Amino acid sequence: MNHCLDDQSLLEIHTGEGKPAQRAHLGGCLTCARRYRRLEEDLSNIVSALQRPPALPLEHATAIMPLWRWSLAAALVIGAFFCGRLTGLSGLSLNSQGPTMASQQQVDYTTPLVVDDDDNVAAASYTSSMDDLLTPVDAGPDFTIAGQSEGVN
Amino acid sequence: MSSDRHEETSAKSQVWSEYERLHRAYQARVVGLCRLLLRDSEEAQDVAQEVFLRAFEQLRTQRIPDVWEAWLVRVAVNACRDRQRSAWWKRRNRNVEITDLEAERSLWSTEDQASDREQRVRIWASLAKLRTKQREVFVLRCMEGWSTEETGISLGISAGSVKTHLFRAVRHLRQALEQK
Repeated sequence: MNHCLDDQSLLEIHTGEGKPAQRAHLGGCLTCARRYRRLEEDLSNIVSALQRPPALPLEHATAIMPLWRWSLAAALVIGAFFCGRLTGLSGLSLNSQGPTMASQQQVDYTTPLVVDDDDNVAAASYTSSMDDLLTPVDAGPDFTIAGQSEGVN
Repeated sequence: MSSDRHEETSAKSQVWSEYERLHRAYQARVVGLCRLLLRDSEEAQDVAQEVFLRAFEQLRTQRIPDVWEAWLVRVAVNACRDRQRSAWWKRRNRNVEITDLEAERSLWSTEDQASDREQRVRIWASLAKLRTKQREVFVLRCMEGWSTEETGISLGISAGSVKTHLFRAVRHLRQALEQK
């Protein structure tokens, strides 16, 4: 039957809480004594390592983004790019005539708009009615909009 | 009237001198304890400041504890626990991966790649992975030198629980030493 001490008993001896029988066994058992020495050595290493600050500040570790996050971010960017490309292409293919035609039309802004009585009497009456609407009710024939008479420099 | 003011001034200066004495005597120790419990030097400084602020309040209100050392350690442990319970801390720690030694190695210069440095990183990483109670018990028992009873009373657990937590913590930390 094996009477050797388990790790918890060895730790209790180390912390000064071991039972006399356990201590007695430790004194006579080479295997337990070796394990006890190793425990003491390990604890000493652990304590001395923890008495110094961490080898790297945790901020570094925080800065290290896990690989899967980088992959996910890259996949999202690539996906968004292709999605945008596909949407743009389909829009062009469906309405390819519209934008092209519109861009080819030249608008002549220099030709003055002349309303001929023979051509369109309705247009002339529309113009005069608009003049009536734009003229203030209480304004006399000499009414001028402020600033217009003086001219804007 | 003037004697009242004189007494008030002398009481204030007494509080300040006592506070400065406490700060000088225990500041490094409280910061070290907080660093062990939080695994973050800046946070440890922050929490230690909170602890000494509370100590100042105790002095100001004349509620002097029997043993300052025990009071400071207990308040520091509780303050660290409060900090770790906060939602901000949990969110922050989700991003912390100090066990990723390979990634950390890439940040070191070749001169820094000494074995003791690697071992230190492994031990700190292992400490970070311990359960809060295990870490607290280990720190109080092995680093602060408290007895099982004192640790149990301070953490509100039985002596048997202290022994169990200590054993698990030591086993976990020793595994970190064995990894090469």
